[in-house]
Amino acid sequence: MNRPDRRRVPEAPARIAAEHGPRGRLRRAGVVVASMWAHGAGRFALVTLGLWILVSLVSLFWTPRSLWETNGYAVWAKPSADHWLGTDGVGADVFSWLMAGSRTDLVIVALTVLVALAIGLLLVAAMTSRAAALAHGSVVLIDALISIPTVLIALMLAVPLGASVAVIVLACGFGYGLNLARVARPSAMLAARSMYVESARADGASAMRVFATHIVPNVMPTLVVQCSLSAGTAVLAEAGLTYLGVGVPSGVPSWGHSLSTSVRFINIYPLTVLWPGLLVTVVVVALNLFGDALREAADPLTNPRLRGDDGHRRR
Amino acid sequence: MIKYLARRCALFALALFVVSVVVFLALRVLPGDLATIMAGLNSPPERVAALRAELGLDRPLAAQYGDWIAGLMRGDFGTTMLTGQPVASVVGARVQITFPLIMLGLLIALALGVPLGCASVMARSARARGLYQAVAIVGGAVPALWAGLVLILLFGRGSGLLPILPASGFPQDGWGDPAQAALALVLPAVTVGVIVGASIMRYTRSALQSVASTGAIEMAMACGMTRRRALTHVGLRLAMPQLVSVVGLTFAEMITGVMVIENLFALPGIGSGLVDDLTHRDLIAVQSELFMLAAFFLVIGLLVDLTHRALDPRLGEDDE
Amino acid sequence: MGIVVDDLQVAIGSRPILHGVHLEVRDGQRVGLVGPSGSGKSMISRAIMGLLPPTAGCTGSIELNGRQLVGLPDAEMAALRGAAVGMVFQNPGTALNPLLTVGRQIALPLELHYELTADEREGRVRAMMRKVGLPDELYGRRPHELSGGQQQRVGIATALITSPRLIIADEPTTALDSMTQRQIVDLLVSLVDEAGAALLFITHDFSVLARATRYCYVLDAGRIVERGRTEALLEAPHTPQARTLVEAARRLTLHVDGTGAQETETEEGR
Repeated sequence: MNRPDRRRVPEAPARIAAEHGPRGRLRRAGVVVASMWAHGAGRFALVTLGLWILVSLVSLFWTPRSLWETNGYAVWAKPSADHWLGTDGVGADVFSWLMAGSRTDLVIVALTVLVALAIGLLLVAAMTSRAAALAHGSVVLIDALISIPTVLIALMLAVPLGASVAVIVLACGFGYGLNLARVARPSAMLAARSMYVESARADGASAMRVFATHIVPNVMPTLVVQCSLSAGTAVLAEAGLTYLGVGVPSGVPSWGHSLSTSVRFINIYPLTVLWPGLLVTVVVVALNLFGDALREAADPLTNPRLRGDDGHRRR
Repeated sequence: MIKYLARRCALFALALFVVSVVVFLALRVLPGDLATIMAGLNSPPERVAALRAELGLDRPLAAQYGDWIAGLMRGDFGTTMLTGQPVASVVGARVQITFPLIMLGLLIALALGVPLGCASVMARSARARGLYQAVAIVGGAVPALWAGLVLILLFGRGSGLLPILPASGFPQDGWGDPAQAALALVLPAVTVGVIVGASIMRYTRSALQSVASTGAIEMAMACGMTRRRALTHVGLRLAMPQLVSVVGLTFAEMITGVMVIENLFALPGIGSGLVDDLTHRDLIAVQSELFMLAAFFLVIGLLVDLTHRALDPRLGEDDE
Repeated sequence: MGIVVDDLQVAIGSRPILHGVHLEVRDGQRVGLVGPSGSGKSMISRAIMGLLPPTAGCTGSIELNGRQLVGLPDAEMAALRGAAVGMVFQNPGTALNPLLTVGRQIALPLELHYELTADEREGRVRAMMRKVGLPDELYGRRPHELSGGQQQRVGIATALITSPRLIIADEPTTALDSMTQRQIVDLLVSLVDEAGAALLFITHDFSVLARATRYCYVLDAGRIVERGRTEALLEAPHTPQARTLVEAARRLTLHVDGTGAQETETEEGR
């Protein structure tokens, strides 16, 4: 669609890349966040994710009710001033459990993304390595394993590990890591074969250094966007795996836990199951929109504000 | 093409081997040993020892692995601990539920996702485009469990549109009464279909857009096609290789939802069966089932790659 | 008769691309439209063809042989595309349908607009292939087996197979090397003249423009800034935008093919 801009493609990223150093990076991050904020979807994503982090922090010190305060006389209570979203089957406060659950999910998502990123980068490093066997082998490995579903890996891991957060983090991290490597492959290969990598190698830069200074910056934009999409999938996976009994162990608050505990009584108390489901949906929507908005805002091609003077001249 | 076929099959065999080793080892790195866990924590030592001998767990790992693989080759997948039936026949019974469920779900997903994806590309007004976008994003963000619950609330209970309750599960005699059995699968399949349909819609949309950006659709229009016809006839056909690939990947994603849905609707399929065996610590069955499922997905991956190749003439002869 | 574009305004979303463009191509004329990248040249051709993306808004007037095209439903536009107007695209490598053989690709407008038997169609396609200089054995090949020049010949054959009265060529030579560029321009010009059709030739390259057209419009930032005989305009552009373009073209021609601006200036007198 943006045909007129095609000729400008080669110079734009170069100019941005020229702004090295922490200050340039900070300025760029500021521009990116401001651009995301300027659109409704991006603003929704930023606000929702901000609230998620805030609520998680608050829940460490305070929830409206204690998690373990149960009231046998107020089981399945309707929402009221005492219990904002009502109570569950043992009379525990649904709102408090959801608040506390948000921090578990936040930790799971953060760890999953970290593991995925580590595995993804490791595979990218292998794919771009100059040892032909390693490069070829890693590509083959990714192609071979990509079709194994995450849930199977989780069930496999659950055999030795039992129900635990580690199962979710490792299974999802592994699956999403493979996916990251696959998505980043084209740009990584392009960078690895480029002139500047050639010349860096000719200057005697180590493989580590070439990877860190030339390949990582080139794949990072793709990876960051993909990570935010993976984060959404991780929240859904937590809900699914916890329901299947191989995710968050019982007694630990999580959104999947809140969702599964109310399932059995769905026909009697449908309202209780509404809240965790809505919450998960909203958060996953926010994470997906975050990824989309980030892609738009962080790409010099679609965001004229990142193009420096170029953008102003065209106005 | 032949060369590619040979290479892709070799890759498949390699992946199958890797998966079998991983599954096998996953069950052998347990804290404590397999026999103790399977027998139950409070079993007398004699029983544990007997079980260990029976399962051959006292032999070296390589020999155990060899036995297992040799058994698989002969079609012997071991016996379940709970009922003593052969794993193969138990899995066979479960497949009769899961396979129709997946296929029906996928069909519904395609019937929803492809037209909606086309429509979202063709939409003229900004509002319509926003609406389609919202449907795609929200549809993909709903947890499978919750979607199932909402559908049960809408159609399962009381309202009488479709009197299928999760508790009713699947008819005891399986497909003895096909109408009854099919009816039991409708709501679960719709749940799967709605969720997967949202991602198919997104994939269709982005595949069509990437085809459109090449100019092939404009060219078809310039020859005299309407935009609609160019998108549905030329665009979809050109997007087909991409779509087949993502549907293959969707298949792998789908299985989490399918397992949850089977559990929720009390359908005795592969997914809920596997979870059951896992909770009952029937690890010999789990080992074979995990391997069979993984092998199934590797086959899907193989088929998808081959179809992709066959659909795109540009990939025909030059072997990259 | 021919095409008359008047006060054409096009915006994509909220971003205006064209601000009131006026331009005419009469029957049998070859008219150029030149401008830097991003000036909105392609939007004009897309507006005429009814190929604007769904997000675009379009006002003003486009009259083809007296018929108003702005606001025409897509089905009626489709009946004109490929019959009354043919279009040659910038990048045949991606625009040609990779699944269609050369024969079926060229036959597509015939299939869509005329009731012909398969034999009649094949006869016409083969005749057209000879005209554009495509060897007969390419009939059953697919685009990826062809060279860039051959692909563009297929594009031209497809645009001309129904003998439309107007041909729009949107940067038809940009994706080709300079030798092939000349061949393709000469081929296009001779075929258009032979059919007595009108040609709107869009380019950012003055040397190509001089070969293909006698009259031209200069577009910059969505406005026509200058119009006149191509020859005169190349010699003495009035507006600074046109001057910049002409100078850039001269420099490029001098440097790239070493033949110099001199040659292009004599060529245009044809």
